[in-house]
Amino acid sequence: MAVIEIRNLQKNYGRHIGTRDVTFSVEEGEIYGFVGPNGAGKSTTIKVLMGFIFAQGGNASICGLDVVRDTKAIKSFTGYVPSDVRLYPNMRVGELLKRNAAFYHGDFTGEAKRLCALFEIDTAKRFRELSTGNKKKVSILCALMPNPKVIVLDEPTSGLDPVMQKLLFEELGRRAALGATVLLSSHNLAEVEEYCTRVAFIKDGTILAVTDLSKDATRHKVVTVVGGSAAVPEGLTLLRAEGATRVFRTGLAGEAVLRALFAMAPEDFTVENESMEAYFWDLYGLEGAQ
Amino acid sequence: MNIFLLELRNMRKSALTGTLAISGVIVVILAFFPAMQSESMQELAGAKLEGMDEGLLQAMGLSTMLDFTVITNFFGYAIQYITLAIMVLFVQQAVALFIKEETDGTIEYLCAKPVSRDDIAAQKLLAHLALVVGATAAYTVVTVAGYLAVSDYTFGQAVKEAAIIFGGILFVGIVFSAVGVLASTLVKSSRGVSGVTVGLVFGTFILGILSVVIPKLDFLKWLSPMDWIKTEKLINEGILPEEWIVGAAVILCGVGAAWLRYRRKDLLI
Repeated sequence: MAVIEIRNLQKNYGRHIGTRDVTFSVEEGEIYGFVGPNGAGKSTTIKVLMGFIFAQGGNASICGLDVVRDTKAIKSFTGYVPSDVRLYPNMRVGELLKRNAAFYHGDFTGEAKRLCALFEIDTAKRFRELSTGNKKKVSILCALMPNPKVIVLDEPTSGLDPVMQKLLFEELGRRAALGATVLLSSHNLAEVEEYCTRVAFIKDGTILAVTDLSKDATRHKVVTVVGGSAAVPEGLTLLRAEGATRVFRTGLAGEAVLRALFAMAPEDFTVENESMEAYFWDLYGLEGAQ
Repeated sequence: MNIFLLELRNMRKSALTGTLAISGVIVVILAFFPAMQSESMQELAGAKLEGMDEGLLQAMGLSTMLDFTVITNFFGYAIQYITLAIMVLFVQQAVALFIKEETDGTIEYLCAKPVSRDDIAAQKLLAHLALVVGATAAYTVVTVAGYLAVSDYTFGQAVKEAAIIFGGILFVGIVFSAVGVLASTLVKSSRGVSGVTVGLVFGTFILGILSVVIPKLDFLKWLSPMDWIKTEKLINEGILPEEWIVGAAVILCGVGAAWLRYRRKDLLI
């Protein structure tokens, strides 16, 4: 069941185009990556979803509720972590968490304590006294504390150390396994590759591709061969050659790859999925990882 | 009421500082009143005021209040300028009401909570109203106490006069605030708050002076709420029905337009 649905979303800021035509959907229990360069339309899409700005065309819904008309109801079960965390600077973290809980009309003391311990948050400090990473952790805690069904994160790991990044994704994975739906906007392709089930690539306000990382069906393979015939079989593109070692890229799959290898008769070979980074460079038509 | 309480919490320091400062000025002004009883001071003040142009005296609301040995006249003159400071304080808070959270970025947090734009607008407006009413009540109490300390007014007389003066100030404060909150939904950054505040308060004040000094521009008095509460007029005539109507219309239009604009506004984050 699609929890987040976005159809033909259009948003302009005067002459500047925020999103031209964004369409994708996120299924229940999924950790869904949202990737693109700066200014591609990721944050604009998220801001429309959260009701911070209004689209000029298309529509978006969360759990079947319209993001404009039913924004209050949506936010009662949606947690949000912004890319740039700005909270009330003079407020102590403890007070922030109390006030945050008050919006959801429930007792989240136990969950708040667990998350504070998990992310090592000092509740006695004032928000302005915290480092960038700790500010991000407070924002994550505010979003996760009321156990949301839907979690929207915009660059959640920027500023977090590797240990905290891992803890965050373990926590998100645990929640996704329990049915929570996660939309993750990120520039970190490695984390998207490792933790997301699907990923939407956006450029100039348009979705270029949606890739299912669990099947890897739509991604290319990288074939490295040592020795063998100098001819390049059909379906393979030579990326580079160093002595007897040649690296190819191919959209072929399964048996077709094996046939190509058989034709080359190499002394040795490896076949691996193209990295997310290489896929990204290819998709955006840029020279890069290859 | 989470947003209401949050707003009061965030505004408490600046509101308290402003209220204490203005209360202090009221106390200091009233403390000078006994000195005005001396003959030499009466002569000095009388000579200065009588030498002034009639039009200017009228513009300053002093045409029938030249005797500063009467506390109503003495405080009535001073309060006109204190009122300017009070209005600056109220309007500054009003103009900052919506735009400050956008400039500071905290609106992103607030808007991600289970609240609608209507909730945010309503509770923020209520919080501002509470601060305006609270501050005016504080000035009223300080003034009543001051009257009792430095004049021979009875408690009833002091309360009646302070209620007339500060009741008018409260009404005009709300009128100015309504325009201020509308400006708050229109300006692009909280850096514009001071400019809008000064322009609004002093601009309309100057329009009021022009309406008195230049008879042809008499109609400008409707654009100058400060003129509606010149103490001389307030004590003698109160706020006129036309002024109530204009003021109420400005409040309704200002708050209504601000509300409509805020409901459909792209937040600047």
